[in-house]
Amino acid sequence: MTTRDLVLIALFAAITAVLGLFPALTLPITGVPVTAQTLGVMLAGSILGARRGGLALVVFLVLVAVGLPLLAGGRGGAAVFSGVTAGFLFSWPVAAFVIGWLTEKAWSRYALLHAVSINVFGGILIVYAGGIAWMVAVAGIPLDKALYGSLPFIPGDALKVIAAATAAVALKRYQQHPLGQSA
Amino acid sequence: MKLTLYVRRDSPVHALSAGWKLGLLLATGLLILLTDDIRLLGIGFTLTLTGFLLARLPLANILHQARPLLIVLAIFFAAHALFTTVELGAVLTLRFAIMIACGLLLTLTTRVSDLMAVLERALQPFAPLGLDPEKASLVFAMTIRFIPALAETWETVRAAQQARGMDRNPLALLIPMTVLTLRRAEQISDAIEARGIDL
Amino acid sequence: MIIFDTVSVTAGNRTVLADISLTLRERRIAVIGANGSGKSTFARLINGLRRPSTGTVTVDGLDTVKAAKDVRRQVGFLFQDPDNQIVMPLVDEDLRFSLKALKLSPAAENDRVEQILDSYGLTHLRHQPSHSLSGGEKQLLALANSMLRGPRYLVLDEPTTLLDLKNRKRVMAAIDALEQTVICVTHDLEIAATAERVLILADGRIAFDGPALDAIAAYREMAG
Repeated sequence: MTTRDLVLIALFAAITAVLGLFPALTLPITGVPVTAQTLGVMLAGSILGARRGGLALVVFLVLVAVGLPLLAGGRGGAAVFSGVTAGFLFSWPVAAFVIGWLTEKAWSRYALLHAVSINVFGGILIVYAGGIAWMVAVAGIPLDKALYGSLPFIPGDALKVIAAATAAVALKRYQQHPLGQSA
Repeated sequence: MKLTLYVRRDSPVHALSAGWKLGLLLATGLLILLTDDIRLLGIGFTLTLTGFLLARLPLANILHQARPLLIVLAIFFAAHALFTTVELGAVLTLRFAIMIACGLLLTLTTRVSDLMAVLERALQPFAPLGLDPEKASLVFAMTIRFIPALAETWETVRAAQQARGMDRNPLALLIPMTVLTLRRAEQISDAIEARGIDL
Repeated sequence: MIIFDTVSVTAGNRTVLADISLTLRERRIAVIGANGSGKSTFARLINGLRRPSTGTVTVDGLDTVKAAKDVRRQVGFLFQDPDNQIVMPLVDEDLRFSLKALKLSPAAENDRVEQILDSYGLTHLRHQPSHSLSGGEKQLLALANSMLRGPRYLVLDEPTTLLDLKNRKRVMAAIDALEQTVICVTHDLEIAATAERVLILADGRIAFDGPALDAIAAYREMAG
């Protein structure tokens, strides 16, 4: 890893934290907070690629684990990783890695349609699969409740997908995209 | 944005080593999950607050900065009390509050560099797997350093787009923000290399 | 002594700097020129942050590419935006970070940090978060940082562009007081006027090389 890679990892971990400053709403019953932070997951993957994008989210979660109040609503501390919604958090680095990996694979023909499908897959499917699987398997919430509890977030996440995809494609068009430069 | 960080004081809480504090934080996080007894959790919360007093922190100031957190807690309690029971709501809110307060106490009384040193040591066992603990702790420190700076950039971009009536379009914020961040990354890596630091 | 020997820099098919040969011996040198004239690249060649496409740059006989590490101990560098050259959360940590590679004893490291903070009037900020500093204080910290390892040269890349008048004066006063050789890339003709030798860059070439007063007159004429 070059100095530049390390700096990029740090800055995208920081972006994810900054996105947590937007007003967070906690949905009743499941207590899943609505946050802009998954936008950070999508951006890290779509802009930095698999390795750096995944690591940016690992760095972010480690800092949360040592107690820094970086999650939306100022939460932090190891205990968030044992809560009902911990599965969503654990899925973030995986999602960023997968988004990055697919983006790298599609790079030569990367355009809005690819960007959107990749982010739907990584940023929505993987995150929800991880989050819901944890709710059911670890927190013992019935599958139907876990599903219904999570559905209200889909429209917001769809908007984030469009935002992240458009930004990544715009960077490629302006020749500012890091994947285009290292290739 | 004000990321509440280290406040220098001469206190036993400050003097306790970062490793111990981190260990206590982890232990607390697990312990509070073991009980549903509101009295025990109440005692736990009181103990945490005692920690703040022992640490001689400027409480009024902290309370002011933590106001958004109190609102989150209130909403959290209201939602759970409404949809489950008041008792369960109180238990969950107390756990949540203890967790947040402990995290805050740790970051207020521990220098980031000390925390990073602990992390660096904790990561040593992974070194044979190709993980460089020194680089990792540098990345952690840089993340903390640049959160307030990026939040400021975000505000600047927002103000600029507001002047053009474009602040309601998230893309008008996101694209300049990412371009500026990537440019910043170039400058930061140049600055690190110019200091003769080889990574 | 800094020597540019037939140096060219190209990026893609664009020529950034073309065939530059120079010997810099003066204590105060200013480099002026329009945006995109190659000034920043010129500055970065001196500490090896940019590599020449052809030719060589040497600092006291050290090749800036082959001996980059040694060159960077001799050449401090101050960038335009102070916010992007402070990388640690606390002032004290940021200074220590630069000293890490020297592997000093904790006591020696502490002494060096105290001493440099004192010489730039930053002692009271030692335990502050670096983010809480004013623009001028940040640039002074960055300057302190580039002087920390005792370089013989200091390269400045538009060090005052982002500062207000008061802080600009404060930072320039600190730079004026340096014993080191200073090479300053700048838009600020007031700073250029105090140099012993001024280079004007235009389209990647040296358009003028001489004393400050003549250079400024020539620059005004070139700008029309």
